[in-house]
Amino acid sequence: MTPVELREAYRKRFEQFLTPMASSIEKHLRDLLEGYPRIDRIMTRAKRVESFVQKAQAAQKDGCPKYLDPLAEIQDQIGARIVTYYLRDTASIGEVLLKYLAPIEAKDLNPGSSSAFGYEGKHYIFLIPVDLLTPPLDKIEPNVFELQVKTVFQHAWGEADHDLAYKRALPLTYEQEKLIAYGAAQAWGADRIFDELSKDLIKFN
Amino acid sequence: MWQGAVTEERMQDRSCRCCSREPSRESVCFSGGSMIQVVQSFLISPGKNRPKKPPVRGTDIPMEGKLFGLLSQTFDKAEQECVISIRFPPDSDGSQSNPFRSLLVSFLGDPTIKNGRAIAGRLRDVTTETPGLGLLFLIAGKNGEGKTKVLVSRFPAEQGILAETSGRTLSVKLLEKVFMKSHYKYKAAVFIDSSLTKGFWTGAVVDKQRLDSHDAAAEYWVESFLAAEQRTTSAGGTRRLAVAMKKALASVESPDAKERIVASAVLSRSMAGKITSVEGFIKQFGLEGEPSAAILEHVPPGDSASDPSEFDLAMFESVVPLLSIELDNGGMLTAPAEKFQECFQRETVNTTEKRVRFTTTGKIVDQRLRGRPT
Repeated sequence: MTPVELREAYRKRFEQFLTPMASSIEKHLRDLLEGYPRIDRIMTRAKRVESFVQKAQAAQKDGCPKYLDPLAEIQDQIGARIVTYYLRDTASIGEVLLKYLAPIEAKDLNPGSSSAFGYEGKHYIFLIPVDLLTPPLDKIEPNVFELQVKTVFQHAWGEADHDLAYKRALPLTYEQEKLIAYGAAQAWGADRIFDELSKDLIKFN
Repeated sequence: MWQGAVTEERMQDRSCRCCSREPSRESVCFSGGSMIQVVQSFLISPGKNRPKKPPVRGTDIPMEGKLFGLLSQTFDKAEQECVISIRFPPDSDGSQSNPFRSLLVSFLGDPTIKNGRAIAGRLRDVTTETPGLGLLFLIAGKNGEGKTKVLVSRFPAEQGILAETSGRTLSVKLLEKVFMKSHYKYKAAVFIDSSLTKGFWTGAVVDKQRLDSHDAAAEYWVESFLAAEQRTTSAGGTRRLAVAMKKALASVESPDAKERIVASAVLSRSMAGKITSVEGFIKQFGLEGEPSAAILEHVPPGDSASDPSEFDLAMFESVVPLLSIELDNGGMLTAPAEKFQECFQRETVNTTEKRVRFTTTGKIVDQRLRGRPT
């Protein structure tokens, strides 16, 4: 498939399947979490055409394309995010979701080193529930969506990082990388402080 | 020789991600555009809890003749036959890894006898004397849309009698390793996807040897061998049913339909832990007619109504709360929890003996004898 054909195929999928399915998933998540306190927002999106095309062209370190069949292999064509107040809520919301939704991946993402600060959050790849699918199940592509559960601080840092650093074509300077990491450290610290306070001030279920 | 080609060619070479060769091996096409590229068979002896595992012998099946014709029929009908949706859960660390899926993807990427034997060995290792000797078939190819499709099926060993004439004599022999005597008695799983790297997380199974339920398959087949689970979680599937029943209860007008839905909800305790679907529940409790129509109206469209999952009683009761009280005189009172106090007025008659009196006033809309759930 040429890049032009890929873009057109994805555009069609974006309009006909991904956008309406993202709305259905958002409604479904709201139903599942109805009554759960301290949820700041539940949002979903279909990956924009430009964003998909850019990701589809990504290469590995050895120069080989990262995706041989991007339409089938890129798993965040539908993304969802649930933002909550405190760290402990990210865990309990995750437990609620795992009761109802079927994961193929469920991870706590972190920078991977005790001396590093950066991307953090609960990260899931869920199968789209049968309740939301109308055609025969084997015809649906993609049949998964990505879901992140984050605190407001993780969300705030993630949005700014995505806008300033992740999307940037050129590498950041050392000073800029340190500032991004400092921002992550501040968000990390704020999460710990409010989580501690919430233990004393809120009666959790 | 086709058999020689099996080990040399690959359906899709993944050794270099830059390369994406089209299948070059011999294949047999069918109407609708589906095609079979590989058929392998393995004899599976019970190997569970045996220190010395019996060997797994396998062979490629030539893609011609009566046997191939029979197998190609099962391949073609797999989507219609396999009605129980399953999925592969992730590894215990949450990563996208599952032991059976890994074997399946390896086989599809390079369908050699060696890779087929790895799947067969897994089946041997979970097979006890109860399912006994079996014949495993791996049939891989493409469906009508060009997606990779694989059918994994197991036929149990049966006994048969061979009668042969030679001149004027008749010889009769008992055969103990007869397979597919009834080719409707088998277990199968079908997987269809377009990506070997990121796909093949879902599939569907059938257990034609299980007579008690169309919604269920042997744990031995689904959990032990396939390392899979129902596609829909127990809470997810039960919530779907419970929400539909709650909405149906509010929407039906006929007292009979209302009473039948309430009665089925009360009797639903007997379903705890069993595999069922919305349609299965309707059938189980004889809700055909108005209750069925009302319940199905509130089930999402598509395959939801027939999609099976384990019945989660606690989840059901949290959505459709019914309060039921049984008295020591044999009397039973049941009403939706939120309306119970409105339906039945309660007064204490004797505090010491904890005796109470319930009173209610209404018009009898139905009266019947009902058997207890078994």
